Amino acid sequence: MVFETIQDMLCQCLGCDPSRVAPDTVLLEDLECTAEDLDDVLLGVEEEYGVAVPDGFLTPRVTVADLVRLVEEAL
Amino acid sequence: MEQTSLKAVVLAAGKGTRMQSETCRLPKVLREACGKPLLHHVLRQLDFVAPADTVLVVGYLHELVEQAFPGYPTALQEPQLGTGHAVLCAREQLRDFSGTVLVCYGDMPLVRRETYRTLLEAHRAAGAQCTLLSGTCEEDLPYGRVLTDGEDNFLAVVEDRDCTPEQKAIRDLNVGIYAFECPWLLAALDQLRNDNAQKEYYLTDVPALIQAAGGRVKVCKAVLNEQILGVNTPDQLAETERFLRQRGEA
Repeated sequence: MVFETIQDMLCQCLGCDPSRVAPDTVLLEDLECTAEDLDDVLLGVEEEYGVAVPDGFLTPRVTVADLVRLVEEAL
Repeated sequence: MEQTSLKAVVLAAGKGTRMQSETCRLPKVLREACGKPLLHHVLRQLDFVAPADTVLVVGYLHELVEQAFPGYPTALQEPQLGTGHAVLCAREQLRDFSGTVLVCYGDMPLVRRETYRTLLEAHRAAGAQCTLLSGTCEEDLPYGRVLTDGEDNFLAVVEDRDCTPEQKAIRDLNVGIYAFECPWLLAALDQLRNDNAQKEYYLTDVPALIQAAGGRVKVCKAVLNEQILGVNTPDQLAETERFLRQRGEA
């Protein structure tokens, strides 16, 4: 459920097709977004789930699964 | 192969704590103006220096900066102990280089190519070992004042809070952008001290060290106005974007 919600948020924020968002999708590289685009997504995740995304989470290799895990562990 | 005579060092390590809203966790130079990172705008104006000769001093979330700007050598500054320390972190990239080093900032996207070139030309023409860029601005900004003699020789930089009323009236502001002859820069960096309240190593102290070592230190005075604007707050980011749009860079 968390994955589907985050997938939807990524698609809405970045204007990409859901087929491009899988658990092993590397956010910055595979979705070809900028760091600021991704920061907007993280803001949405924080608002949706009331979780704090820590400093340092945003790296070039962070995946959709990393984001899902962060949320699930905080819930 | 002929050795290149110019390298640039771009300070881009900051988290920009005043910049960080509750919702933004990016390195300051990756914040965007007109849809492009601040550092993109800076590097565009530095396009007369080859990327391979443009060293980015990175720190906070450096991997993001490195990914966004492939092809540029980087020097890691961790922890961040001041502007002098930042340039010192690029020491390895400057080792054995005998040419001129332009030091500038990844969060000053409004500085124009012509301004950098004017500084470098003044530096070359004077045969100086160090040349500071000073700038006038219509706004009243709390920047350090650059004191010179009648022939644009460097005397001192006085921080705004330490200025006498007469010094406050000086309009030549310290921009923090410099041209250095590399061997003189490296020798002066070795002598930098952090005996100040912040325990940081300031690049501002380097011109006096070069002068004390017998080097010629000049000041290149320019009318900069908006170019002097650094991006430290969300308001300044918005203002920067406005100026970039006026220039047709949106």
